[in-house]
Amino acid sequence: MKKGTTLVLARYSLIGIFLIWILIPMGWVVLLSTKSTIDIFAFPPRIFSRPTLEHYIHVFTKYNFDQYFLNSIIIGAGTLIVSMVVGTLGGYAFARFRFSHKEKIALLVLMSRMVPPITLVLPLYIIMMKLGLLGTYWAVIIAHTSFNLAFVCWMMRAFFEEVPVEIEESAMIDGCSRIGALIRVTLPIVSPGISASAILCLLVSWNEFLFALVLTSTRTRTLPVGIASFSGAVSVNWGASMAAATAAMIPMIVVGLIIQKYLIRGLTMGAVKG
Amino acid sequence: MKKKKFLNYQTGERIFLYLLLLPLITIISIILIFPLGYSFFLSLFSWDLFSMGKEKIFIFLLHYRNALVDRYFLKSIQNTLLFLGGAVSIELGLGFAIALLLLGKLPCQKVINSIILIPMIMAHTIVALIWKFVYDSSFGIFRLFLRTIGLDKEIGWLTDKSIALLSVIIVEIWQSTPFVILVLFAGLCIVPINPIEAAKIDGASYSQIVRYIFLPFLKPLILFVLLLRTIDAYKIFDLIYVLTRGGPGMTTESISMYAYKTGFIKCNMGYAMALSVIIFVIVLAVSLLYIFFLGKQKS
Repeated sequence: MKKGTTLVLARYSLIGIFLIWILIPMGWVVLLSTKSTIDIFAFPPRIFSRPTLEHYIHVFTKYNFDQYFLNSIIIGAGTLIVSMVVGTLGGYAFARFRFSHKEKIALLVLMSRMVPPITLVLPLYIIMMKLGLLGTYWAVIIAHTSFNLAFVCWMMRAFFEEVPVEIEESAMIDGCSRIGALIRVTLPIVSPGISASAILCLLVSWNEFLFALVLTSTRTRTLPVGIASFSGAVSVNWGASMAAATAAMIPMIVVGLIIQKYLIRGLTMGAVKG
Repeated sequence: MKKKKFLNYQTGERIFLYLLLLPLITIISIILIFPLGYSFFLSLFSWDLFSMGKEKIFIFLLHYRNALVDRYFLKSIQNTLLFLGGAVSIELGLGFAIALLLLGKLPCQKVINSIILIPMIMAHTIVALIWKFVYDSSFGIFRLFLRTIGLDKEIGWLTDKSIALLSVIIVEIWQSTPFVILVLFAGLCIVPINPIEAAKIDGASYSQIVRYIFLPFLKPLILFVLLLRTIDAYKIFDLIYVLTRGGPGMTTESISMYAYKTGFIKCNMGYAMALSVIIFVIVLAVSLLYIFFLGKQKS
């Protein structure tokens, strides 16, 4: 069975190499973020040295990171609420009703996902400026909603289509109104779809950069934009930058791991259903 | 009994239908269609950001004609295509290979799946910042590695014109291969067992099984992933902004980056809008082509 063992070993090694490749950049940054600046630049590299939180304190006080976190949460929540409510209702309409030009409108909705951000951000900047909304939360919430809506609508339509019409009709025979049937009977059934859509919606908004870059002010700046600000100058404060990167990375990773199941379902659903 | 797909409704209930759809259509029209139209309209003028459009000069399609001969725009297209080609092809190849390797029993399955998922869920800017340190020519990981083995050589991963684009491609591959792995692995899991068993009985080798069973079955999925990755790579901005801001001498400037700089840094808004319209039209054409192609597949 020598050939068998060699193959198994090879398989494990290759997967292992890939995993190491993924982990090293992140691990290195996390490790260095806990070292004092002297230790960061020491050679030969000191892996074990006195850990310090000075960079993190720096990042959260001098660099306003707590504000960036808060802004991302506010904008994410706003986008989530609008996109989910409007998108779910729209998805229901597409799933349940026949109406003229239905597929054409559906295609239009899908296309909103294809628009490159740069094409949208230029006019939105001008529009927001004229409306006096530049630098407010609403500007970014509106921008993020514009491409999340189609996605939510598309996903919820697919989930609604899986629910047999008879269930709603029997609820209505039992005395429910149309809306009542939707809320009390259908929504609970598609709740996995709602979770998956909501999570992906929030993730996209949280990580979004271009719209946030252009439409926010220093007061409403989001996390990705805050992170990018560490990349500009020639002489970069390494310790602070690494602490910033880690501080932004860890919550994402933790949350991501918790919601893995929904994430995977959401991402592959679009693929497998075609 | 034929499965009923749609609800019966009386005329009065059409109002309900419109109530459901109205917010969606209205919002999309306002947030999407209007800005696009507005952008196209404004691209017919020559104007800059300072005057805020008060000194607009109508020049019809002149911006578009200029774009076709703009050396820098063409260079950014070349960069984007190189980036796209390099990144997507390797992501697909590597992703498929890893998905194949993951097929079957593995120790610590959950941990492995979790690790693979991580790069995908992180913001592009964070990934870029991390790799910016990794690539640092004085203190980055590679330099440390080289120094430890005695080679005191500095490689300007992000500052050397000849390899900057390659460095950016590597970061993109690092971040996006997990998505390909995820989707293709899910596809591989639902390949029907029977053909595989039959092939094994007939003495087929592993590579034959891959070529003649897995690949054809996965074809629509592969096309789907190909389209998605292509469109995403085409739109690339975040990574480049943080890593190189357009790179040493325009070597990593993507089309989105070029349009962004034209509009917000050089303040030539009319031209920037024309560029962004061109960018949109191209991706629209590709997507329609794909849908057409997919339609032919099904019949």
